[in-house]
Amino acid sequence: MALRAFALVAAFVGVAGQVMADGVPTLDVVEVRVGPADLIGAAVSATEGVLTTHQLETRPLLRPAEVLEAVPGLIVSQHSGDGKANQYYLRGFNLDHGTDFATWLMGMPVNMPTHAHGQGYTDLNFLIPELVSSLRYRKGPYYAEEGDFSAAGATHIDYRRSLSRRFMQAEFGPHQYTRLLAAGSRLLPENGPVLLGAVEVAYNNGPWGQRENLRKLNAVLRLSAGTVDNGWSATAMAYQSAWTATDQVPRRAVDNGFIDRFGSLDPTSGGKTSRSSLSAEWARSDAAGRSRAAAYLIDYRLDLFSNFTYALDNPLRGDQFEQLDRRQILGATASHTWFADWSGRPVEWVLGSQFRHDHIGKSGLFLAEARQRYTTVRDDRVEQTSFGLFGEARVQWRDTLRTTLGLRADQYRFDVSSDTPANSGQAAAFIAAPKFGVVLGPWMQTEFYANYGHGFHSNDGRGATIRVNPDPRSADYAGLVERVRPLVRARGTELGLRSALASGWLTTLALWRLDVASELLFVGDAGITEPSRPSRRQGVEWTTHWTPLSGLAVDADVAVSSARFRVDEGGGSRIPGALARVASLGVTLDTGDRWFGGLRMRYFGSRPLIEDNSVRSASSILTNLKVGYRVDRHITLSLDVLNLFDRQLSDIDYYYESQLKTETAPVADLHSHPSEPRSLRLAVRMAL
Amino acid sequence: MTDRGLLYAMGASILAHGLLLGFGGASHAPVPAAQPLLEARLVPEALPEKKPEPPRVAPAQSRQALPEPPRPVKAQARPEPVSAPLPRIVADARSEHPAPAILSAPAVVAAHATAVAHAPVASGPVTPAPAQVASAASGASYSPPSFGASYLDNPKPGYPMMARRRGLEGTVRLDVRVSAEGIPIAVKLKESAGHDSLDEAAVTAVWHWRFVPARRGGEAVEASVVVPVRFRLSADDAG
Repeated sequence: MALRAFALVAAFVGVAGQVMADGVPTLDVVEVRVGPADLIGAAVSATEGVLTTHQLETRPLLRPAEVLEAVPGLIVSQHSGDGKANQYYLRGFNLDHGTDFATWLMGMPVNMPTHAHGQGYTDLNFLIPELVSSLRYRKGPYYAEEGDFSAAGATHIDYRRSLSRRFMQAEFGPHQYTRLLAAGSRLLPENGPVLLGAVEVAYNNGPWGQRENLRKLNAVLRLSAGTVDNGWSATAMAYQSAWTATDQVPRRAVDNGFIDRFGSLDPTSGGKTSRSSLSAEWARSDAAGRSRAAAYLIDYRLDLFSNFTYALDNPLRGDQFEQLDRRQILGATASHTWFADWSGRPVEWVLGSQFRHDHIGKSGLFLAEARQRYTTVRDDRVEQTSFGLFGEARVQWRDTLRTTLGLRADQYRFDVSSDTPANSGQAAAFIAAPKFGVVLGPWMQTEFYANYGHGFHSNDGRGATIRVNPDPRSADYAGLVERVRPLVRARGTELGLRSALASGWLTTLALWRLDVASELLFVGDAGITEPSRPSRRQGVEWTTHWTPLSGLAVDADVAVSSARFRVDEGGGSRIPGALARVASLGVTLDTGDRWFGGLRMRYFGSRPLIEDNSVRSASSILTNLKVGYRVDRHITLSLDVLNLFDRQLSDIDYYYESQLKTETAPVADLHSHPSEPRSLRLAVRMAL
Repeated sequence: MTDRGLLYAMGASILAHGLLLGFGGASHAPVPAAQPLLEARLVPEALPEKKPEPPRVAPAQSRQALPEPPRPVKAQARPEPVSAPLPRIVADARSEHPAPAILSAPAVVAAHATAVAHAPVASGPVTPAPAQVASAASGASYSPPSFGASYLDNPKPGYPMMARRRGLEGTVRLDVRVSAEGIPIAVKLKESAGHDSLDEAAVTAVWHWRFVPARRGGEAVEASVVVPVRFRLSADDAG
């Protein structure tokens, strides 16, 4: 492929100067170029998209995972310390730490099934935004390639394979925020592969009363050759982080002056985590087909101490609990697409498989005091294996009609060895999910889509074999517990359109509905997610992207949705935390001159916090700004102003019962984690 | 169960390795061969019917077959300089080459327009360059067909949807016979992009183009030109 690229460049150079080929003059090359973001003619639904470096690099970021906010309608927040997975919201879901949104990085899944803290836990703190080359997203369960956790959507992030220049970057902000990043790539001799390396070190205390003392070390080494479609890469990654967390606090504690807005009720909350991985990706494409394969090995640990109810369960020692997760993940994916012709109609047949095994050596829940364990609630070892097989047929019936027919089958096996023998056991589950899509168009650069599909999320494997309640804090301790269904089906329908009527302007509109057979809900006082009633969500999403001038881009999106339980058990049918309105507006300016920048506003609508809708969270508008200045060829300065208008907002709100040490009875209250106040972060980049 | 998992894993790993190895032996992607550009000849007189030229041998024959007085002259004039200014102008119009000729571009094109519309001879003084002198001396300056001012109205081919989904790329070279009116009268595939859909898209688009016709002296003449059309999918931004 490198050869081919070279040949093309040579052809271009040779021709550009206008040559005579044997007496016949050759005109300049007319280049017909389509960017990855131009999906008319290639998309399956209105709500898939591709974002590239160019659109991502001018986004001001408070946290690495905020890169995901480039997905229209997605919100990234945090209810705890910065080493913990973020809290995500999309399509009327409070996704907790990623229950119904699948995230992949360079062919590796980020979501963790049967995770000690929360099902589908998606910790993206090891992401280095500067290395991201593309982010592809697909919403809804319409893609045969997407499996577990993808009912609301999925995103695939890829890192760059090379950097045009090596650079070192230093960032400074308030509260000792410091981040150093060094990255570069080099071509190994003789047209060999490209080696890319990056090292990141960060420290932060945050605005919190209790210093966060976040220490983060992160490194990436990637060897690659060729391109994404024709080439290979092998990547080694290592990340570790340790921090002290300020979890959400009750409104009353702030109101009565017990603590201030940024105060903590448990100074020893926090944890440490690490992740290292080896992975490889390979792809080969030609006129006959495309093959892709990836394999990965991930070693992962999390030791997390949280306290969300303070002194409710144990007025003496407090409610701190520890969640421990130690696992190795081995997995592979492979697929092949045949480019065929069915009596004049272009057809693509896809066949693929995904395999994943999680060897969870330790998944524990313990009660603790000042990070010292004193009681074991659960201490399990889980072997979880999943195997998925999928096929898809894409037929172009005529110039303005194409269809996609897909089928996916997944087999899961759980083998739980629990410290409570009654809770040990094995379980297996199978799910088959059909997918169907029709695209009409394009006419005048406008296409219409109709999609239907099934998807699923898996439940915690420990819930699939549970028999007795192991939690001494709970009222029915040692009582019999009902098992959960290991795989939960979701069913989605969508109508959409995508249009690029004028050049430089792209808009999409989608009307969608998603039914989930059992909702995963965050349970504040237990610190876990629990399966619950069936639900229905429906909504409208509108996005637009406009490039009025080269180097200037404006994007805006609005998502409105409703989420309801389909069964009212008496307490109401609202789904706690489900967001109903999100909007964002962004302006990006980078003409290649000295000044560049981006301004982003995000509206995060109000959410019901309990089923009867009697308590709601406040809506918020958050504005972030980035201004950059290229001093010379080597030095670039940039300033991020986060929470530009210094609004007093909360990142997240919950409503549940808690008890302060000074209280004698539980109090139901709003618990919030505040957004950080206005903070300025200055970055200096030295490129060689 | 664990054993089973291990088995799966080993299978996957073997598969991945096998594929990797397979790749090792097959890294040469289709390289667009730099074919010798022998076929096309610039012939001032029509012969449009003779489209299906036998390749390679034909040139010599057709050259022989042309009993034209201006031929030797053209042969002299042909050494590029004459043809150089025009393409340069095309390039300028697209602002790819920050070149000195920018100012002259509209003027020259305008001159062509008048030359074509009205009369012969007129364009001589407008075109700069020493070659002009030479050709003036020989009495018939020649400039090949080009996109000229009308380039911007020539719609680019659309990227075929199927090709885009399949990631097909390539460069098509078309041999376009342009009439004295600037209209394509024959569009032939000189070099395929390697994919029919790309070739077809390029041919279809070029049929609808308008060119500034070739001129000999001040007179618009029919002539051939090679139009390269490159289809490219930018997978990701280069570092």
